[in-house]
Amino acid sequence: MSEILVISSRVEQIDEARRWLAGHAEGALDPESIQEVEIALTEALSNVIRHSYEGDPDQTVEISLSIDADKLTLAVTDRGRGFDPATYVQPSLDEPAEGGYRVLLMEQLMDAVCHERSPDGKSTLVLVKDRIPK
Amino acid sequence: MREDSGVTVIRPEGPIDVSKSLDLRALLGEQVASSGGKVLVDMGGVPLIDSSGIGVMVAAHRRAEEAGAGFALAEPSDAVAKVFNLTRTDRLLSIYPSVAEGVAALAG
Repeated sequence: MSEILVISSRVEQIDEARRWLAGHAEGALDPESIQEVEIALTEALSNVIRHSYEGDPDQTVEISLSIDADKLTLAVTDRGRGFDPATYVQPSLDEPAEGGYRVLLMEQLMDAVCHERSPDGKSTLVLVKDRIPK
Repeated sequence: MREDSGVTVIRPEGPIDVSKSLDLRALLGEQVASSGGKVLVDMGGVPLIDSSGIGVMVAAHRRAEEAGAGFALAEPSDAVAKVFNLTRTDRLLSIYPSVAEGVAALAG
């Protein structure tokens, strides 16, 4: 199956996106894995809204969800500055910080995280969670 | 928010993410700013926390230290505890399995 949700670039919309995700993922993943994907989606959307769109509330974010036999895939697409996780410098975990954990959490909670930039200016962050056979 | 044995217990409800973290940061900062304040965050009503929420807790812990106040968390769900663990902020923060244990530790 595949579904698409478009939200406005407002932090208040993140909760709606989580509910949409959880509703579709129920039964496909165990509850713990769904929570992990919810956190990763929260981080991805926060990043788009606060950094890629720099807080502009009048933009849109497209979230596509596909679930197949092996995995759940989320693709979060925006037309802002974009963000490449490969440029991310992880904070030192020996010195707890007040920020900087966004990419760390996405990478730790998901099985794959990658970024794509299309020629027409779209930036897409792809988050993949493997499905564990029951 | 309630008082228990001289400890201010704050119980947020719902996910703590970027849409809530600014308000919570202000509330916790206000509560721990007074010298001698003892603040426990009851996480029992929080199903999810993101990196901004983690930052709020680290900031509150540091403000409490600076003010000579006490700050702790209690009853995180497995998902919330995992986020503290992955970021290793569980090594900095005082996290108790139950509210009663958290209150006892701060009150003592």
